[in-house]
Amino acid sequence: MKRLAFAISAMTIGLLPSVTFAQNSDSQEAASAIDSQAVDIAKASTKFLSSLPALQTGWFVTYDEVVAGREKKTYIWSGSSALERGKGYRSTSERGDTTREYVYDGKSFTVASLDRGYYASLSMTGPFDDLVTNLQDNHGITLPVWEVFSAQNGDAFLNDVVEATYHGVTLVGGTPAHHLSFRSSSEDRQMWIATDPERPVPLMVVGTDPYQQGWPQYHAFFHNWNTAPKFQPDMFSFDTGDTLRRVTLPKLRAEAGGGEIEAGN
Amino acid sequence: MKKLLLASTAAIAMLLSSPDAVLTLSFQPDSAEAQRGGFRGPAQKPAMSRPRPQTRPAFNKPRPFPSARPRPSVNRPITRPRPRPQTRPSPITRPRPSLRPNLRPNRPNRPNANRPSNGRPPAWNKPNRPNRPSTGMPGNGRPPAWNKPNRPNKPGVGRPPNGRPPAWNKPNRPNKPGAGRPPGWRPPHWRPPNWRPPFWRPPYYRPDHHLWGRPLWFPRLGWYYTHPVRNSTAAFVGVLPDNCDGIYSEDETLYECNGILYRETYLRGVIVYEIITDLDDLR
Repeated sequence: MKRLAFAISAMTIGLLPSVTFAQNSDSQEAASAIDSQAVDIAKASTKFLSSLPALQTGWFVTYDEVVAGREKKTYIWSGSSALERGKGYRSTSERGDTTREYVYDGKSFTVASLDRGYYASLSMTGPFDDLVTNLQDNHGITLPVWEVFSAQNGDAFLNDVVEATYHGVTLVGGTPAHHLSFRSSSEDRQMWIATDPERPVPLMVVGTDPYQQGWPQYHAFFHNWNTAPKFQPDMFSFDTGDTLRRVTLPKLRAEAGGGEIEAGN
Repeated sequence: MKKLLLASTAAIAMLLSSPDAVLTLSFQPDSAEAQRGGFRGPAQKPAMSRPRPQTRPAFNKPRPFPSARPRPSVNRPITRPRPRPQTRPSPITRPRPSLRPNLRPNRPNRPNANRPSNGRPPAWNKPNRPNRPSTGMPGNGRPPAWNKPNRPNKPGVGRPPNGRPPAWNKPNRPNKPGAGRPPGWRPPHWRPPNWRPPFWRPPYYRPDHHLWGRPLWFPRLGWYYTHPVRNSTAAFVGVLPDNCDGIYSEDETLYECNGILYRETYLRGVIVYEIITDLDDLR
């Protein structure tokens, strides 16, 4: 009996260092999987954008739709967006054969298609981040490239990152950029951020859905960054005139809420 | 006494030898067996027989010795008498004309039934040519092939034993589809002969929409979709039918098409036409 108790004690004592070593190795692996340089560069870009009182950029987005589990259909969505914090937001986009205008003046939100002759309007107040949340949750509308304009949720993705890698500097349209890659529980993302420390704007973002067969991606290219724009007084107002007809913008159920990219026509 | 002794001695000698030896009067049974063929196979010619010449002598070869037999004379009379000349005429072989009229003209006459005309014997054993005395009975005394499969000449003969009914309801032999079933029974997916599928407006198949999912069909609407909205479910179509009248107001835009009211709706970034009219009123 004494021998058995001794053996168990010896095994326990012998295992303790190994368990401790395993825990340390896991934490070390997790720590080593996140390259702090990559995270710092990305957070610096987010902080820079959220600190701007007004910004404007052009963007070109492609996103995939997986058909029958293997075929990808890629859509193109392009336009330009402008934001003046506390004042308003306006985005003009082209998708398919139609145009779309998103205008927010701090009191009401309007989505309109000038070539199709309709508009839908909602009464709404609050900052830009509240507008994004309300449209996604209640109406299934996702504003284009809203993350780069968000002051609160811009770094939400970076807080969930489990792996981060810095790949070096590469040229994007003649502009040197840091090539970063991240992995989170919801998305894999690559970012190209300008190397200019005074103006670390994102130049390109590629996201991958790791949970859908076919692994659809979106690509967002940013160009014509203006970090100190001067807008006209009527920049964030929308005149419906007499030619546009008003359509209904229904509220959706919570389970049918937003969060997805609009398909639009 | 001597005769008796001699006779007994001879009898003992016969008993010691084989009966064949007694028959052949030989005290060597082996040679006796050999002479009559015995146990070694058929009888063979004795070894002392003269062998035949291998080749016939040539005709121009001179005979070694003149034959001892006298050569037959050419004028020697024929000892066998010639056959007597026939004084009677040969009987007529043609058949006698029947006294009865031939009521069956297509049937050949009896004497020539199945008989070749050139005097050859009838083809008794030829297949497919039954002779006159045969009544369906095959040759060699075999019974008629009534009980053979696939030849139910007599209905009762092909019946299975033990009183079982004929195998009509066996699979692969659907002689009577409804046999053994209650009256009115029909096989699955049975349709009357003049049955045709009901009319269904084309298209008959429409794939799922990438946003709205599975389309639904309603006769007066056509294909439509549904989407959950707050406190209800929106039924809508993607395209309005023809000949619609627009009803515009400051709050919404309506369309009246064939008595159905649609509301133009911006749903998830897409313009759709929500069906306002209750579907129960359209039935």
